[in-house]
Amino acid sequence: MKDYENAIELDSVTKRYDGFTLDSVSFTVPKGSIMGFIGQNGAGKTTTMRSLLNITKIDSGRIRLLGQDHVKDEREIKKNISVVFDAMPFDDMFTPKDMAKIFGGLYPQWEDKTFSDYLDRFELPYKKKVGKFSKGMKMKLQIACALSHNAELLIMDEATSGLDPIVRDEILHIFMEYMHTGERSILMSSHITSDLEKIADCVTFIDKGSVLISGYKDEVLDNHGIIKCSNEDVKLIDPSDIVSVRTNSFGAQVMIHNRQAAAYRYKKMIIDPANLEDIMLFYVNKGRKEWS
Amino acid sequence: MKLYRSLVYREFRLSRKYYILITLLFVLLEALVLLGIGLGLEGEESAETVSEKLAGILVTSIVPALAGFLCARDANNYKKDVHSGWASYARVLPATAKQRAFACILLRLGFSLFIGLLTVVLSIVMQSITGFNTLIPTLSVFLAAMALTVLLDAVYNAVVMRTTDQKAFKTVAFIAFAAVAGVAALVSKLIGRGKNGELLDDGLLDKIKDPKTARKLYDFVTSYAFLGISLAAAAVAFVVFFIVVSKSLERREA
Repeated sequence: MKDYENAIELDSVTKRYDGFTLDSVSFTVPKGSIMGFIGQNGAGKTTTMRSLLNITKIDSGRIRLLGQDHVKDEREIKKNISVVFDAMPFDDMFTPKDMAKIFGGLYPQWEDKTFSDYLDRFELPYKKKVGKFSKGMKMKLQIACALSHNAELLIMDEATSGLDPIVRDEILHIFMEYMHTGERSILMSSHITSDLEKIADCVTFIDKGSVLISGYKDEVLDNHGIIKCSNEDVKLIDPSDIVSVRTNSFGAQVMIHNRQAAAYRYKKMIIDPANLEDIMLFYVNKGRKEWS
Repeated sequence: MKLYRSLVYREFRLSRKYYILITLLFVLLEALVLLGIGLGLEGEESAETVSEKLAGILVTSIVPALAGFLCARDANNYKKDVHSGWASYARVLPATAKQRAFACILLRLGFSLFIGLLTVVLSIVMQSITGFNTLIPTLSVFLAAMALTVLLDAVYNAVVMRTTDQKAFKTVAFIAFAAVAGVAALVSKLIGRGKNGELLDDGLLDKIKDPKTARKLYDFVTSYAFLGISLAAAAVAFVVFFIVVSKSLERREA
């Protein structure tokens, strides 16, 4: 695998469907980082992921994975990536032992020892049919398979959705461990922003098929803030500083996109930090002047 | 090699029960035929006329024909893959569409070879009982049945593999079944017509009562030419199947 700076590069990727367009999506996932891919259901996360995996043909744009073209070098790329979907794609009759035999031949760098270590750690039985596994166990098995062939890039589509907080936390911890070499990268889509807040280095927000924000998580969080004020005071804030305004019977919450500048301009107002969920909510409602 | 071993193993694990069932069914039916012939010959002389021999061949060919059909048909693996999500997931794996299609063929060929060998053994036993050669005709019938099944399966797969979506599968499978039925009806119509396209309404059994026709037919079905034609048909069918399946697996969502 040749040297590369970004594990994933999407440049103006467009895909049109009836009633939905993935519109000129561009973002990069730097090598050695975890990118959180955030958006509400139907925002275009799965379409983007299916496009970069060449499951779906794109209409225009360019995609590079691990420094290589996602169509021309598809086979080479797929030896070095792992994909985890929200549902386990293994037939119910298979056992983890069967999966080891299957993946062992598919991936040149598959390691049985790593796989059995993950099974032990996840307390998954080696010879039990996966049809009898719980949802959490199925996800753990899928992740164990994904992490056992030394993949340089892990792509996960809603992998932690539907899991209880304890299992989610355990899995997130394993992802962080997986990153220790600094050579591996993760793209993780989720609408559970708290998970991404814990582990992501970078975030990309997508809504209605368009990227709203993409950058380092800390910068995104530092740049955004929420001013809590009366509905009257909203008029004092320059509209160009505002992402959107949420109103309720107690007053208004105004999200601003340049916290430092706002702190200087609106000295009398208190600016609270925003989390990723706040940012997602305020950006999703960006088109509306006020929302509640 | 390791990759093919994995792919074939997966296909085999999915269809293991089906193949065990087919093997048991084949052995049971062949045993019944052997027993029937053995009992039928007791106290009688073995078949002497060509028509009798030909009738014997026809009877003993029914089981290999059925086995050829059952060996070569899809054991519903693609349907299982759509339901589990593997059909879509497989596209993110390093195995290419051609490798996956070839693995699918390898399993069918491997199992067909196994049943083919059983056919040979049983034909030798049959020959020792009846005294006439059933090896070439039964093998030929087995291969011809395989060829036809693989061709029909290629038509089915060309349609059904257009989707990896569980919801759409039922509709697509119905269309595929209709397509196969249409092709099968066309083939049977062509087979049932003479050189000038006229309908052949004489039954085969009536025909073989005529010693001349029976001799011609007997010479053909016991000839290496028949075996060669069947073998070539099976080879062509598998090549067609490989092309259709690999093209279908290569297809990306529009």
